[in-house]
Order: sequence, then structure tokens, then C-alpha cells
Amino acid sequence: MIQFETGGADLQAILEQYQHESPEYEFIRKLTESSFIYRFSSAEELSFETKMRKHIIEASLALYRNRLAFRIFQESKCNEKYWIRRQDGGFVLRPDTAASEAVNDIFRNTRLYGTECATAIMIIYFKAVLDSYGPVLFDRTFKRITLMNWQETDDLLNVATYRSPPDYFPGDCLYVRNPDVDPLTPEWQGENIIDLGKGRYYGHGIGIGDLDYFIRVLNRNRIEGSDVSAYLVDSVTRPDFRALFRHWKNAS
Amino acid sequence: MTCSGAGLFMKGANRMTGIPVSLLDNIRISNGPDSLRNYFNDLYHTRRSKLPELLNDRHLRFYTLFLLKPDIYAFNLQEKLIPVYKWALHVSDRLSETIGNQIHGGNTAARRAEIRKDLRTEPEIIPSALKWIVETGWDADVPEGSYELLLERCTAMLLLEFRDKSVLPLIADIIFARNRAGLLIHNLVWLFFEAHDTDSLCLLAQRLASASSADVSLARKLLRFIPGTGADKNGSGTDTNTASGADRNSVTDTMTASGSALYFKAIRWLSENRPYLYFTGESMQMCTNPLFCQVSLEAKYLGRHVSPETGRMQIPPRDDEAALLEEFRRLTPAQQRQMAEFSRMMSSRNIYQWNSWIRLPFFRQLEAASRTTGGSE
Repeated sequence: MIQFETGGADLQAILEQYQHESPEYEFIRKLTESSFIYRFSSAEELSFETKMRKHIIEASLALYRNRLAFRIFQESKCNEKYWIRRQDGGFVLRPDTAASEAVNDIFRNTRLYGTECATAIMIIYFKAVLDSYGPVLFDRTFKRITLMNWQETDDLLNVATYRSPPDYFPGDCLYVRNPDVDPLTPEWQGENIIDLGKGRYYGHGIGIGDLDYFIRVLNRNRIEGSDVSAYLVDSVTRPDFRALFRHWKNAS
Repeated sequence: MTCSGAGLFMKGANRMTGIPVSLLDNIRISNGPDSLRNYFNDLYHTRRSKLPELLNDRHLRFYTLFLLKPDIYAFNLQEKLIPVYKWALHVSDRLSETIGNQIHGGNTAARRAEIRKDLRTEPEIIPSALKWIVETGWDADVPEGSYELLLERCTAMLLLEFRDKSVLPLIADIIFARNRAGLLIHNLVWLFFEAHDTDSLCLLAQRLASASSADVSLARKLLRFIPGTGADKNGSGTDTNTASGADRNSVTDTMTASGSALYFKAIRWLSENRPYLYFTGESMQMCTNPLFCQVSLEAKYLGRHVSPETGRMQIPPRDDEAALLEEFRRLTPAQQRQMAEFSRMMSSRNIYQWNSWIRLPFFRQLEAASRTTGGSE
């Protein structure tokens, strides 16, 4: 259920803004149907989060279409014009480089980049914020960016993992764990996936499919003789939509 | 619980470390890989008979052997190596085949099974060869890329396939040394926890008292599941739903506690909770603030040890205990923590009293726990 701090709002009217089959519609419908109370400061905040989730999905699809290469950290690569590749395989935004150009370059010159699945999610998040904020505010906000899976994440993005969440929504990042991964292929220990809505997911290096598809792929890389299946972990990872909204609101 | 953790990680081994160094290692460390190979080639043409002796030096380190591998094969010297070194080369050849074609490549289950079968052909010597690789291969000057990946594969095989936990103190040393140097540690951390060895957690706790702030910071991150030890990224406690009881109000305590106080607190907590600890499978690849371990509050309440791999009680609860657990599950997480801790404290102080308490009706148990620990939520 949705609660606005500003008081009631016409949820039906909000829902009708979106196409029936769209991820935005699915997000708001799930919010309203949930027994958990989701609090928003205003309808504007809800609209911001809905839009940003849509941008997360669009960025995921763009990475998939542009065929971002899967590379483990030791073999990661980036366009050195915009990013410095660190010794540990992470990427750092070059000083005096516009963050918006650097992030867009990943989607424009995708063949110059290669990384593993969690860093791909961070790239998706930054692109979604860029598309929500626009380049001027984005560049003003993000002077320094580090892309290194879930570590050293940006303070404003404040990416957090919530265990046993009441609901999952389109735009969420989930994790499929492979507990019996073959030690010869540790890169298959699990996969971060973005919920695209309607039961479809994107996982960098694997592709797009339903949950069973990701489980099947991971199961192919189990230790010999194992009958312990990969599974969806009961947790969800999200950027801090509220903080991002407030920053956007204060700046506009 | 034993806490050795002696620092074996060779920081660019040289004469100043006091660790014996073979001549070939010395040349590699002092003059670099190219000089090493030049020296080796020159010697082949001038004093060929000297080469096996140099290679079989008992202090030789794997990275040197790895660098000389093409020359060893070219000069047909592999059969003159002592068995551990000879098989180390073989192992590295086979495991190198699994690198570089991880995704959509030829690293199929059948191919991996073939490699695994091959590595099982010499059960006496291959684990020793792997152990030697891991013990000597992670020198500080190793290059990133395929060699580092090979070392990760060898470490994974030793820990997960051959279940050799004796290298965990060394792995802990390597993790912290690499972290100080800004090198990649994620897979090593994952492997450390995948060994499912609760005893080894004290190796991480030791670093809470380290003089290096990087060590302390990493130790706190890895031991975040210990109340009062870990801190979130910005000390803000943003990671939520920590049902295990990780204490999110303890950041201020932690900031002011001295390293040694933090260390003793962590060690005490580990010794009290070790029988109920299990590994969650969370990793640095999965989320921002992984909780690598959790306490099974149900097991702690019943005083039952759990499997570190699964978190399931090693002896399933009896019918009367199952009934108690049903009541226990209705409590809030805070109440569950309180009851579990009360049960542990009482059983450690007076097992007879505990036996009487656990037989009381559940609501009476709860009353006793609330009286002693200052009420429930």
C-alpha cells in the first residue's frame, strides 16, 4: 500500500498515466497491492522513483543490445579517454572529465569496455541517474565516480541490500547464488540480475531470460556430482531513490 | 580455538626479510623476470648440469618456476625436477586451460571433468603441489592477469576440492597484504569464507588490533556480523534487515573503542557464538555490505550446534523442542536475540539451572529471560 506524507492522492489516476503492460504500471500496481506500507513524501517522489526504475530497465536493455563484454576484474577494460583502469580492475573517472560524457561513452563505445556483473549494475545505476537528472545536474553532482562492483559505491547513490524484503519490483537488483560452483569457474558463483518486469531479468554476461534460465546457466557450472541448485537469494539491492529524489528536487 | 596466522606472505622476498631465498628467486626479485630468463638461458649454454640443482632448491618459489616454464620445457628439464615442482608445472598447465574462456567458451562441464580427473590421478602429490603453489606463489610482485587468475584457481582447488584448510592463515595474510597494496581481494575473500571454517574467523579478528588502518577497516567490514565490530560504508548503518542480530547501533562504540578492545570483544563473541554460526554465502560480489556469517538464534536458544555450511542443527530438535521453537518464532527479532543470549549465558554458567529453565512453559522462560536481561521490546 502507498502512503503519501502530503496526504491522499488519486492512485488510480497515477496508474492510468502508464501503459497497462509497462514496468512502471507493474511497479505501482505492486506497491498498491502490497500489505506493506510504502511511504513517499509526495506523488512527485513516487513519480521520480517510477521514472528512475524505468531508466534502470532501459539502461540494462541498452547494455544487452550493445553487447558489453563480460570480463573478470583481472581482465577488465575501459576507454582510457574517460576512465582510469585501476590495478584491482575497477574504473575511476578521469579528473576534469564530465561524468555524463564518461557514462554515456560506455553505452556509445561499448566495445571498448568489459567488466563483471556487479560493476555492470553500477554502470546501469549511473546511467539511470544521468537519464533522470540530465547532464548538467549529473556533472555537478558526480565529480568522482568509481566503478568497482558493490565496493566504494557513491554516497548519494547509497546502494543498499535489504534482506527478506516484503516485495520485489521492476528495476530491482536481485542475486542468484550458485552455492556449489565449480572451483574451476569461480566467476559463476552467482549472478546479479535486474528485474525487467513481467518475470524477465537481465544479467550481464548471461543475457535476458526468466529466473529458471539464470538458474539453469549457473547450474551448468556446478561442481561435479552436485545436486544443490542455484537459487534466488531472498534479498534485494537498490539505490537510495529517496535521497536521489531529494537531491534532484533541491537542485531544480 | 587456535589463532596462528603467522605472516607467511613474502613481501617481494629479499635478503632484508630474513627468509631464505633461492638464487633464481634472488635474481628475479633483484633484476626482474627478463634477467632471470637470460641468466637461465646463459647457464644452459655454459653450465647445463647446474640447472636441475638450481631449480630443485627447496626455497624456490612458484612464480620463478612459472616464469621459467617455457625454458624448462624447451630444455626438457621437467623430468629432472623434484616431484612437487614437476607436478606444480603440470597443475598450472591444466588449470591455465580454464582461464580466458569463462563465458560462452569451451570451458564446458565435460572439459572441466577431464581436468579434474587428471588432477586426481596423483592423489599423494597433487595436493602437495597445489599447496606449494599457494604458499609460495602469491608474492607481492606478481603481475595481475592470467598469473593472478591461475593462483586464484589453485587456491580454489586446494580449499574447495581438496578441502585443505591449513592454508587459511596464509590466505588471511595474503588478503590483508593485497588490500593494503590496493590489489583485488574479492575472490580470495569469497574463498576464505567458502572454506566454512569458523575457527579461522579469529584470523580476521586479529586485524582489528592492527596498526594499519587499512587492515582494521577491512577486518571490520569482513566481521560486520559481530555486534559492535562492523560498520557500514559510512558508519551509517544503512544496510537493513540484519535479522542475525548484527548490531546497527554500535557504530559509535566502535569508533571510540581501541583496536585491542575491539579485538578482545570480537574474540569473546566468536568463542561464545561459534557453535551456532554458519556461513551465509554472501560475498563482496553480491552486495555492498555482506554479512558473511549469521548466528542461528533457534539453535542458540536450544543449545544445539549447527552445521557451518547450512545453518541446520546437527541434531534435529525433538518434538518438545520443536513446539518451543514454534513459540520462539513468534517473538520479534530483538526478543529472539534476547532469549537466545539468555539461554547461552545460563547454560554456560549453570547447566542444571538451564535444564530446568528450558523445561518450563515458553511464557515462563520468556519471563525469566526478561527479568534477567532487563525486559523485552
